[in-house]
Amino acid sequence: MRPRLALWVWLALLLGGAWFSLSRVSVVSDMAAFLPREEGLEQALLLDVLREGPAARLIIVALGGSNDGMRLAEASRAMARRLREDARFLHASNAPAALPEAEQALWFAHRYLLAALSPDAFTADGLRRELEQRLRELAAPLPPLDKARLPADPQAAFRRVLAGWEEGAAPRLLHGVWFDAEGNQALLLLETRAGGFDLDAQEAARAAILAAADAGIEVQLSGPGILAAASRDVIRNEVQWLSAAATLMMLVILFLAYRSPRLVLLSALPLLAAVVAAVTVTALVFGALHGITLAFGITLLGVAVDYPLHLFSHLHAQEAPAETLRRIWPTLRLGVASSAVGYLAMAASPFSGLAQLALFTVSGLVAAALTVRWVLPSLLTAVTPPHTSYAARGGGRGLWLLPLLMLAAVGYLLATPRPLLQTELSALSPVPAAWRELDERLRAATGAPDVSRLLLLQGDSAEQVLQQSEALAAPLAALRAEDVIGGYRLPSQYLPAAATQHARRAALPAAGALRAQLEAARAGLPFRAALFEPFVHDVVASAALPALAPQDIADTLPGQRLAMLLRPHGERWLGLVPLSAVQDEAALAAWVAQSGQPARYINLRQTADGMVQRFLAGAGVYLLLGVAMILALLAVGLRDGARLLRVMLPVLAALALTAALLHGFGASLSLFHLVALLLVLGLGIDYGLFFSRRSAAAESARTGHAVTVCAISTASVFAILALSQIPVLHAIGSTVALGVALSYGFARLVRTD
Amino acid sequence: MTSGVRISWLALLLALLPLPAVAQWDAAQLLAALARAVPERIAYSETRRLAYLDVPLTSTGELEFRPPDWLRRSVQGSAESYVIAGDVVRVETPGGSREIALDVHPALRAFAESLRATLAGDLPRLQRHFHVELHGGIERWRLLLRPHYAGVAVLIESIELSGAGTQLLRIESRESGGDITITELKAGR
Repeated sequence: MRPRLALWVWLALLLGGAWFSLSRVSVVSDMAAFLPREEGLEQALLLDVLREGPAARLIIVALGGSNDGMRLAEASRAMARRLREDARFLHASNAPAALPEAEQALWFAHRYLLAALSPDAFTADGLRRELEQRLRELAAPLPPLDKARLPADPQAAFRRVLAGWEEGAAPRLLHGVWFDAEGNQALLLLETRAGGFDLDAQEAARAAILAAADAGIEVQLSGPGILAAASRDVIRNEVQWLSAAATLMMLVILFLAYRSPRLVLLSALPLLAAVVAAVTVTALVFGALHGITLAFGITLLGVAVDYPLHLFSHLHAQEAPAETLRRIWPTLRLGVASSAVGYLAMAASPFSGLAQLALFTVSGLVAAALTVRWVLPSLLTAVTPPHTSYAARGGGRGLWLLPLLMLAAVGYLLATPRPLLQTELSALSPVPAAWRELDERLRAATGAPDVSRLLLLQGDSAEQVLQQSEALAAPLAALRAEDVIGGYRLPSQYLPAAATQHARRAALPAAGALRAQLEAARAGLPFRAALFEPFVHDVVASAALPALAPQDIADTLPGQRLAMLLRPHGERWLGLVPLSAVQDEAALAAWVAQSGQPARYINLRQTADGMVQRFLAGAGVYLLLGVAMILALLAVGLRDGARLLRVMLPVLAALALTAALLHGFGASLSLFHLVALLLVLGLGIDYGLFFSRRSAAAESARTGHAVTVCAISTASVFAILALSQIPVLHAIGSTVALGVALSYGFARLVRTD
Repeated sequence: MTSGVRISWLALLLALLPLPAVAQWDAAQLLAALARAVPERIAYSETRRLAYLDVPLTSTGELEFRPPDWLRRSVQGSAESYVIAGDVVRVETPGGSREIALDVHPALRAFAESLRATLAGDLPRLQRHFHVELHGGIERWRLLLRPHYAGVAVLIESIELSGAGTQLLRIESRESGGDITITELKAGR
């Protein structure tokens, strides 16, 4: 009765978990959630700003496929027109932003509060200088484009306001729209309404862009959201065909090994239970499940297929399945426990994604083992035991060979001049390298800022941050002149602090005084009398204007630019000052440190790479810790030093040789190689444990069959994974396939017959 | 009112009169002939009447043209010269030069092409920016350019090129705000 009860409980849990998994668990695909839980508030804050901010919503579009620049320009205009009518896009720009008429009036009216004019701008000398310059412009062969504004703005103050908003490195203009430097591709910059990591919205945006292209035009596009959405598609497609291929491979191998469709079907039950349990437990603990956890976790759960195989191979006609299970259970249990202990080390890692992965794998493995223990035997009662043929060949030779191999591999790893570990965060990205190159090329072509290096300002109010920003203007200009940095954007370039606007307003002359200075300046110049009355009128009117605040300009073009760089955060305000082409980072950091300015220099890429580096250093410790815990567990479980050696020596030699071979063939070991090595460790221990069981010849042949089927199936499935173009899947696949093959071979070398 | 109507009729008749001639001689032929005969250097004198100024601005200088799209304008007594080459205007001064993309404003491009495309005999390029109307005959002709786009028209109302035979003699450009610039060209080497 008890097995029957266990079956019902198992079925209820499975169905309940499946219902929960399918209906209640949300899978998040935000890459940032997989990033480290970073201790610094600023870093976390910054990641958040960059993730939610307009930089993450940027899409760069390049139109090509024709040698006719006019045709590409026309296609660019047509696309911009269509996308501007599409509510999914905030902006679609293909040329320098022309201020809308209504906005022009606002900015023009406030020009004397916004423009930085020279101190003598309203004296006769200053005015004279400007009038002479205007006269030269009128005499030039090309008419000044703002000629109509001259009577109201003889100092060209409005031009200064506009010049302050110009983005540093704008793309080249051709036929009225942006082109790349070679003139081969027309460029557009788009901003989506949805956040960069709302992948479904980004996918929809991508489709809308492609649909908005004229026929015959080649469209290339990139941007953080587009890359994230596209890499999700690549992962999805790859995982689909890889898992289909792997499943097929698995079915063929299992059928060849057991010649029983029923056993092949039953072998899937523990894996099924493992996936359901892993999804349910992870979602309950973390609140949601990361897409990457799901993809890699299911891969790692592939080990669970081994558990029923051990049971199947050990079945024989003279024994009830439940009895067979009781015989192998201690060994199986020790194998599961050692794998789980290895993954538990990962749960302590600062990568929240890895902690999820660890919990996912451990709960899955435990569920699979419990299924084998309590459910499978009662389903096997009517099964004919498989014919387990296995040719044992002499073992024992490996005991002296393996330490030599291991020493050679470790020696190579210690002596190699090439860096052992891959510490760039980008190496963890699932984005194929070709897309990253396209992204870099388009980014360079559009002059879109690389937001990885910046100064961070903090203040109690927007006004305070704007004042800090203004104080940085002169020193940053000096740093640019010294070629320490190539360029910068300050929030105050879009809107001066209210204090500055008040000071400018207070310095404006009265009507009478201004007319007198103007008359003196005009003497001898051919400008008509009273031509500049609109100027006098506007200066007088400016004295009564209130200063503009960020919220007053929120829906203007410069206001939106400002919003990228000036953001509220809780009670505080943050100012971002993106720097471009930083030439001398040391000089910059030194200046920030001694300037007394309330600014902090942040290099995001370095910060991120540093986090990976710290993690990898830590991962080495976790790995050693994991091995130590496994050793301790096995020592307690086996109570036999010689057997412990036979279990551990093959797998440790396999790990060392796998790492050395991978590195020798050109790979730098990344985080995911290490995860895969951990999986190999668990598998190899399993093989060693079963091979080192002391038993009669017939039982020994059954064990050999079990381990051989396990090793062949695992190596084949992961070899298929190694075919993937996604760096991470390729890393895991090649590492596990190689590691399992070596572990199995080495374990056979030391087996006792 | 009546006289206005009558003048319109007269203008229409005058415009229709040389119709048979147009069949043999049109803007494309005129431009082709101009391009064949264009000298490398052309001296000019310019009078600019601006609404903002009491007196007209006058200047003299030289145009230098290398087909198909390189044009330099040097003003006598000024150290500055303007070179339109490809898609930019280069303002050359003794202290260095700065470049302005022609496409920063449609009017700038149209303005540059009005002279450059005419000298190059490139009617399609001219028609990209202007309605082109030819008046008169081979002996005395007038080529009237009116901008297609509103973006150009805010600065340039019309440009009238006139000449005799294969020689361009006069450019009259009417800008917004009632400004008129008249450039007289003298053929030279």
